[in-house]
Amino acid sequence: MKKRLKNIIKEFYPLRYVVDKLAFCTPLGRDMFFETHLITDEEVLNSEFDKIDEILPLLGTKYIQNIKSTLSAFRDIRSTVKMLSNGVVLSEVDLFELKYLAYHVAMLKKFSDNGGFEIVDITDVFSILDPNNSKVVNFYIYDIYDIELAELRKKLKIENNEDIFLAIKKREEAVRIKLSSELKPFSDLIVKAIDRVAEIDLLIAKSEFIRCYNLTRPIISSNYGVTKYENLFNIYLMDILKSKNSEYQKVDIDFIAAPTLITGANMSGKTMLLKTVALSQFMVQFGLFAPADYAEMSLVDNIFISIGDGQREDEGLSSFASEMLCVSEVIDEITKGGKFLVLLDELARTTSPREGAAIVDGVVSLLSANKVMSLITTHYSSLSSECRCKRVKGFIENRIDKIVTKDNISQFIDYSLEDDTASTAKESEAIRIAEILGVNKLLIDKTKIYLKK
Amino acid sequence: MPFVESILEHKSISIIGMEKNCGKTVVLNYILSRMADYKKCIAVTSIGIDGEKVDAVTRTSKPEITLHEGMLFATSEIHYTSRFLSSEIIEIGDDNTSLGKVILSRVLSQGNVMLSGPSDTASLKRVINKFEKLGSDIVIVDGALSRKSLASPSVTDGLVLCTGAALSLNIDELVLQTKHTYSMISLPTFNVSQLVKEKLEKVNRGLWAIQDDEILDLEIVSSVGLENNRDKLFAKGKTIFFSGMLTDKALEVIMFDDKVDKCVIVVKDFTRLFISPMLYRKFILRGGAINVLIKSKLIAVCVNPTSPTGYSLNSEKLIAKLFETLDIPVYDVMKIQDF
Repeated sequence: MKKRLKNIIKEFYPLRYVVDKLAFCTPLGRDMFFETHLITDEEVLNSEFDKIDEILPLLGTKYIQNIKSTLSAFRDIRSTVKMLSNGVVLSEVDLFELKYLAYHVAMLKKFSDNGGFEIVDITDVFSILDPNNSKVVNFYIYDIYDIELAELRKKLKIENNEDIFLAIKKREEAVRIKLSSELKPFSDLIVKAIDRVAEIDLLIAKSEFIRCYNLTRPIISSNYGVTKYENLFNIYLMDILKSKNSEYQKVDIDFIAAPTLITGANMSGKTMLLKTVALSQFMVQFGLFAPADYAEMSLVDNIFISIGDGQREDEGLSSFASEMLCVSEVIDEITKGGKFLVLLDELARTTSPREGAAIVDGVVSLLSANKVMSLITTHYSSLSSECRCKRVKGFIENRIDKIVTKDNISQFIDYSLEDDTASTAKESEAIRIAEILGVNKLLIDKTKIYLKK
Repeated sequence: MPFVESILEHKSISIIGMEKNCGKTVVLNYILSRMADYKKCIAVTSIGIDGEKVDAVTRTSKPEITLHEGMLFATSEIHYTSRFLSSEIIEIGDDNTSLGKVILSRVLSQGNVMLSGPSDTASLKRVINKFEKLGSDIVIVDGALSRKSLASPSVTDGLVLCTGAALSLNIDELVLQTKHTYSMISLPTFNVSQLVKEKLEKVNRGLWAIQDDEILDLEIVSSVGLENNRDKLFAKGKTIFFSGMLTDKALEVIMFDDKVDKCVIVVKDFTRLFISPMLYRKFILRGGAINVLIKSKLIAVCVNPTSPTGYSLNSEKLIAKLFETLDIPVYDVMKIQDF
């Protein structure tokens, strides 16, 4: 079963961060977004992107401002509409809410007449609730609805007594029953009108977000496996670094329908790279553009991420056990067929190096045989399976003209990728980095002695 | 008509009672009936969840408010539905109270309604603003002075304070307590930039120090935990903001400290003060001061000389004594029709 956005953001925080950045005018737009599935159909996604492309040049204009301020007046009355369709007699407050909705839908229609937003026409609903044709949003059980009611109200003005008042209440109830049954046939149309409002809200929120972060419309390739990013970035990480006044390095990356192994020194951002690729794929397939200067990508049915830091203590599983179960699930899925993006961080790192490397080899060969678009980061250098290998350039001691310390070490790291061949191969630099981090000198010295043995 | 006219000089007023059965509703109904003569657009709402037909505590009858044609009012959904008047809905507030949404409407023909309205200060402000946009000349808030209500009547320009025999059957005691409330209402506003003031208004928990327009966390969660955090109290200067209420207990703890001299305690408004007259006087004598963020002007005091148990105090004597002590207009609610 395909997951909805609201479920995915619970499991993958960076996407939650992105979703929270979208500024909706109504709770309707937000709810609609939360209920959407990953878009896996190329045509559907492109038509969604076309709509956004139409709105982008209009952002900031009076036209969009009017639409937005009208949108923000909408209230969530879906439960009222549901009651109406179930034949419940509506209260005066409910009837006001319906009139208020119809009034603002008409206003939205007025503003968007030449702008292209299609609005569902519910003028009939407004007319029923505006029997005097006064065109205002105010509502009460008007005299014109019921002759007897009008008479009683006149009588009440002359002699104020409780019996007359109770009779009025009865007549008012009769009118509410009549109005509710008159309005009931419109409930489906009202739901459509509300959905349309939500869609417009969602489209504008998406467009503003895209404009704000300078996102790029990706080219959607119909060949599964083609992915190519230029200057890919991670919105979540970029914002964090910005708040600390640090610079963010965008990276180029491409991959195909086969596993790509990624190696690199400690602290070279391999894990973050996987999160960035996952975030980008999610953003695109939820109808946002790609966080890159150029993006060519193919759509997948599901994205699997295993970032090896998740122990499932509540299930009594070690980190190794929970990782293996996760990988097993992935293999189950890919052997059934379908299009996937699989991202595995430091696979089998919590077991002995010999067995760990064998596990990586095993997983890689299965991903390879099933032609699965996948990225696997690892420190294991003695792998026997053949596959694409990339290396994060990583720590470069003389990258800038400064003395390296724990606090500025990230400035010495080149996060870009290069092809991993025998000539570029190097150690993980684990000990040098530990040294810079200020790890106890006794430990460093001892380690160095063992390394030489 | 000095009473009603002085009320009309304000854009918004609250009517607050020092105790139940101090005649708040009588005063409110009187003002509403008199307003009709002035051809002004009146809007009414309430804070807190009063509104039972019979007072649940003392079993005395609690009259509904009588509203006249053309008046605006805001009440919660439950009380809107059970109203005894005809009115049209104009707007529905964004916030929910325990009694449902707040409905803003206009009276089409005279009748009675129970008032209940926004439950916090920010919503009250929004409702007042909405009324002003709808063209009201004056907004009257049926106020509450209780720990239960989060909404503060101080956001209105003026206050009418109701006191009476329900509070005490001893005239001297009654006058003393009323005078104390009057001095709490009259506390000076805290002199600080608008920006800091707005920030402080939004703070809802903890104790904070204010130094050179900066708000510093004292890491004391509430005045309840003050006793065990006495060392932190004056660690960042002598101006302390209590985001919640200030109680006798907290004031006692503050006075343990010899730094109490020249210390300034800031609270949001006088309704956050639950301190006894005695302790307050001691605190002032030790050199302390209390400031408020929002202050409202006391327009008049109304007195109900009859207690809920039926005992009546000498009205003339009581009024004379209150007027002598407070030096602002004092009216007997039962005779108010004569003014």
